[in-house]
Amino acid sequence: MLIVIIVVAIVALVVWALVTYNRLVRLNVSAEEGESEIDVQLKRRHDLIPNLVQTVKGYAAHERQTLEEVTEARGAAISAHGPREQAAAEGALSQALGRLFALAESYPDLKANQNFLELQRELTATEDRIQAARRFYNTQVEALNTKIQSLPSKIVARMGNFSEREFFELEDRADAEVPSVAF
Amino acid sequence: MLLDDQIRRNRWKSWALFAGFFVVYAAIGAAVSFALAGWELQSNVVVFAIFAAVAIVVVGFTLFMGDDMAVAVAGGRRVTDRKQAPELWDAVETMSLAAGIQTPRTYISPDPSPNAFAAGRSERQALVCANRGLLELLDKEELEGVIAHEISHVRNLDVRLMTYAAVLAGSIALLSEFVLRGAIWGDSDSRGGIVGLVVVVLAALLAPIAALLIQLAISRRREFLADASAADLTRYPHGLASALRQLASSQAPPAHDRNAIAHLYIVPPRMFKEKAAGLFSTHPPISERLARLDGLAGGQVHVHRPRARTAAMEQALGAG
Repeated sequence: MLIVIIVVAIVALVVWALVTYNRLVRLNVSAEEGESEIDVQLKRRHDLIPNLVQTVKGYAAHERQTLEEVTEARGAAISAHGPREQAAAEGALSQALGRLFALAESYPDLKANQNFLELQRELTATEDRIQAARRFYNTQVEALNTKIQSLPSKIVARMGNFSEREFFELEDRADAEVPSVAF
Repeated sequence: MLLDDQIRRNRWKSWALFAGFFVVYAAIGAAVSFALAGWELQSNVVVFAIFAAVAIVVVGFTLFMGDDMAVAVAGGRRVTDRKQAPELWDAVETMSLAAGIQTPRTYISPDPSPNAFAAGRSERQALVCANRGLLELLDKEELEGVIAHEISHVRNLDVRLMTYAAVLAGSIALLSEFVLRGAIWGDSDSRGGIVGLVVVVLAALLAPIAALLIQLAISRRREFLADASAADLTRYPHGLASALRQLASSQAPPAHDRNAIAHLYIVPPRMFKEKAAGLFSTHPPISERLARLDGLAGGQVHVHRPRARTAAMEQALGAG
C-alpha cells in the first residue's frame, strides 16, 4: 500500500514538472517571437527615416544640425542591442524626430508636401505597431518572469536553465508619439 | 490563467456543440422516419441514413466554411489593400500584434448600423468584419477598442464556438422551415393526423432547440472577458467604453434581419434586441459592460473626435 502511494506521488510530481517545463518553454518561445516582432517594426521605422531626411532636406537644407541628429539617432538605434539599450536609443530617436517635425512647422511648402505627409503618417502607424508589439512582448515576459521567480515553478526553471528576460520599456504612446501637427 | 481556462472551455464546448447537433438531428430523423413509415426497419434505416448524411455535410460545411458563411450573411467584402480602409486596416494589424496572433482577414459590410463581428475556426483561420456605419461613427481610439474586442474573441477561440453555433443553429432553423412547409403542402391524406401532428410538434420544437444551441455557446462571461482583454490590448479602456456608448444609442437600423449571426456582433443588432429580450439575451446589458470598463478607466472619459468621411473610404465603400 505504501509503495503504491509513493509511486503515485512520484508520477504526479513528474507530470507536474513536465507540464511546468512545457509552459516555461512556451512562454520563452512566445517572448522570443514578441522580441523579433518588435525588431521587425523597429526596422520598418528605421527604413522610413532616410527618406524623411531627404524630403526635409529639399525644403530646409540649412537645418543641418537637426537633420544630422536624426540620422545619428537612427544609427545608434540600429546598432543597439538588447531591450534596455534599444528602448533608450528609440527614445532618443523619437525626441530627434519630434524636433524635426516641430521644425517643419515653419516651412509651409514642406508641410504641404504629399510625400512628407505620407512619411509622417507611416511613422505614426509604425510607432503604434511598435507599442503593440512591445505590449505583447512585455505580457509574455511578465508571465515568464513570474513563473521563474515563484515557487514551486522556480525549481523547474532552475533545472531547465531558464533565465528571466528584460522588459522593453518605452515611454507610452502619448509621449512617444510624433507630436501631432495642427494643419 | 483565466484566458487559458476560457480557451480550454471553448475547445470542449465546440465538440459538445457538434455532439449535441448530431443528437438533435438523429432524434428528428428517428421521429420523421417513424411518422412516415411506422415501425418498418428498412424505411427507418433509409430515412435515418439520409438524415445522418445531411448532418455530416452540414458539419463539414461548418468546419471548413463557417466563417465564410457568416461573412456572406453579413454581406461583407474583403479589404485587400490598406488604402481601401486605412483606419480599419491599421487597427486590425496593430491589435493583432498586441495579441500576438496572425492578422485575420478584414471585411467591410455596407450595413449602415454601427457594429462589428469576428468569425473563424482558429487563430490562423479568422476574420474581422466591420459595418460601414462603424467606420463612419467612431474615431481612432474607439475603433481600436472595438477591433481589440473582436481580436480578443479570436485569440480566446470564442469565434470558433460562436461561428459553429451560428451555422448549426441556422441549419436547424432551415430544417424547421423545410418540415413546416412539408406539413402544409405535403400529401394531406398520406398518413393522416399522426404525421401532421408529429411534423407540427417537431417544427415547433426546432426553433427553441436552435435557440438553445446558441445559448449553450454563448455566455455573458465571454463578452466581459473580451471587453477586459480589449482594455488590456489597447491599454486604453476609455476608447471601447466610448464606442459601446455610441453603438448602444445609435439609431441606424441594420440593413437586414440577420438573426443567424446576431450573437456574433459586439452589440446585438437592433431588430434582434427588440425581438429577443429574455431567452435569447446572449449579451450582458451594455450598462453592465460600461460599468466595468469605466471601472478600469478610473473615472476618466474618452472625448469623441467626430471625423469626416475620407475620400479613400468613400471609394472603398462606393461599390457597396
